[in-house]
Amino acid sequence: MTDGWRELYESEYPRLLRALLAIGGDQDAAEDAVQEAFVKAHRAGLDRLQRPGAWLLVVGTRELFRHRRRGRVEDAKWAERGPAQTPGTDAIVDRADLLAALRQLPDRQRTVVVARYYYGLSYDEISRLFSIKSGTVGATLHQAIERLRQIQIAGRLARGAMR
Amino acid sequence: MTNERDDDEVLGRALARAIETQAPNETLYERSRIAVRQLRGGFPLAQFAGAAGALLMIALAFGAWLTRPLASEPVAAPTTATATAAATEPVAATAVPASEAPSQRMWAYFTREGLPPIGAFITVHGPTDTPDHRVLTLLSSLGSVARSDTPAGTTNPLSQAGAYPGGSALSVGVRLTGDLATIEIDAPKGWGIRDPYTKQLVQQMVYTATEEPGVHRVQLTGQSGTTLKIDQLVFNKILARDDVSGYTTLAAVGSTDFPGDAKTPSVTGDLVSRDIVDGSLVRLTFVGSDRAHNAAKADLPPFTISFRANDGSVPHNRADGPPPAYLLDIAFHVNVQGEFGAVGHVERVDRSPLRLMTSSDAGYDLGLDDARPWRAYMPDTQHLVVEIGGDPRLISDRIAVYMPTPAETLIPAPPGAVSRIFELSGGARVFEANVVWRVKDNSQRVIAQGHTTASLGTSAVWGSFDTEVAIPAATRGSLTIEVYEASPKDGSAQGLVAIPVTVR
Repeated sequence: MTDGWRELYESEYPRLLRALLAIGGDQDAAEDAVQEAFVKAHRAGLDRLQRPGAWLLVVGTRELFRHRRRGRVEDAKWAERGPAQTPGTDAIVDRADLLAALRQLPDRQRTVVVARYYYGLSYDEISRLFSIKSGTVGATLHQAIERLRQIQIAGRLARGAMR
Repeated sequence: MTNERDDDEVLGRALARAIETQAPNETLYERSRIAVRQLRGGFPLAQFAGAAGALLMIALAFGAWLTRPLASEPVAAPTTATATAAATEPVAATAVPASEAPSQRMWAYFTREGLPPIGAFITVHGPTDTPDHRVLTLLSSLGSVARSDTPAGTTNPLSQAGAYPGGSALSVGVRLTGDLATIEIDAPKGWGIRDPYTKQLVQQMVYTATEEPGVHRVQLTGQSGTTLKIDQLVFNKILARDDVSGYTTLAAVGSTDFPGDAKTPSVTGDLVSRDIVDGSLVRLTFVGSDRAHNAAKADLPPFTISFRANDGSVPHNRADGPPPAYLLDIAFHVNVQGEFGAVGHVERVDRSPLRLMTSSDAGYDLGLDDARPWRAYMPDTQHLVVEIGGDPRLISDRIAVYMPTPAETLIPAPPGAVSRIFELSGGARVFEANVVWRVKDNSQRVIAQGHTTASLGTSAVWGSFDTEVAIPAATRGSLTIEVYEASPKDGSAQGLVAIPVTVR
């Protein structure tokens, strides 16, 4: 009856939701975009999706950015918080701040960072799926990471989160 | 370079872990949109979310309400004792020293072009002891609302008016007579406001003034009751909310019965999701719930949806917020066995257009801002989706388009393609389920046309449709997609919805 949709949903839903939550910072918007991405996949048909996971990420981020106005307020709130006040020893706090820092990057950089490091997509795949010139994926990624670092907390957070 | 790469990897992995350890609420497959969709191949449950991005939309006809004939009396407009002020009473003046009265929070409206307004609580300064003082205090406080009190994506036309170059602030007087508020606007010389803010200013004043219980209509006048003219528009009509909401068709007062499983005992409908999209649309999803079997999913019982003006039957406490203007009641006719029907629970929602929700085991009563049209879908016998309102440009009394959305830029055709294909989907309640569409270019020439069949015809439950529209690949620029019912009598377009889109 479900023709593999349940399997796809159960394997891809959790990480897509987390990816879009990280990118947009808004639970409702992420949920909405994930559901919409699955509906679009359903409409396209399972057999037409070569790599459903990556496909869903592309469509999901597009959906998310369509409704990005909603996310702006959240971004502003995070931006106002600035770096954490206490020297970070708590990995949970550090992670939250790292995610907050991520949301200060431009849309495209955020998406590419998530595609590369959370989804583990190759430079070629990112280039193809997100229509970015193949030569510029690496540079975009490096710039993004560099900016995360510039939002000073980042280096410390990395250590905290890696413990 | 290599070290830099490695450092990047370290930070990247930390980030991945941070993303992974987020703990969002997850939706089970059973409750996912595709699972619901599976039940009835292709029901567009959530595509209305596309109505966001309102400010970027092209302004299509806002509605000809400024020149519309005098509104008929609002349905069951009550005149409550609290709202009655003698006509001979002097007009309350704006010159109220703000410092003398304590500030408090009141509900006011902010506007978007081409869309219904969005309400929010603002801090007001001034006396609030009598109805006319409250209206006046609210309107005059709107001129100086803090940016943080203005909902995202909206405009505050009254502050626009005050900020007009060379113009000192507008002064406003208010007089209440029965359910009519007369608002006198004393515009200093050189004051002005232009489109689109003129219409938005009127929308804002009418919605905000009628927030006072018992006040349903507004007459705008110039100083000392002279006819008001702004930007060459003459305001000589008495306006109610529904004249300025932007919706061309309104919800009719009355009840609609829907069939269901009347035999199985103790089954009612449970609200499982409530979305309020862009301040325009409320979408509620109900599922049949068998109370005798641990609230297991079941076919819905018969139910009735009724719409009426609030005749004062919804009690309210001023501190808690004013009563809603209209009520939409969804009553499930439960085949009762044993104990059933717990006491209702009242929830103050205050997110436009849904203000209040009362729920009990036998149904839900929604308090609404205005009479925007509603529709009901049943993707299957267990689910009911009730939608109220939406983008006025996408909705008529028989058509509701979900895709494309206004001002959407259509995806270019792939290289070498003969035609560009896009999706057209929505809901319909039309004769023989026949939904007709045509695409016009900016010189009103029809460049493509066709029709599709909705899942249902003219039953109480709306049908849905989802089709592909093909236009020549070389088409560029602004297009209008029209969707309508062809009159069974003469084929003329009924309930037409026109969506402006762009093709690059």
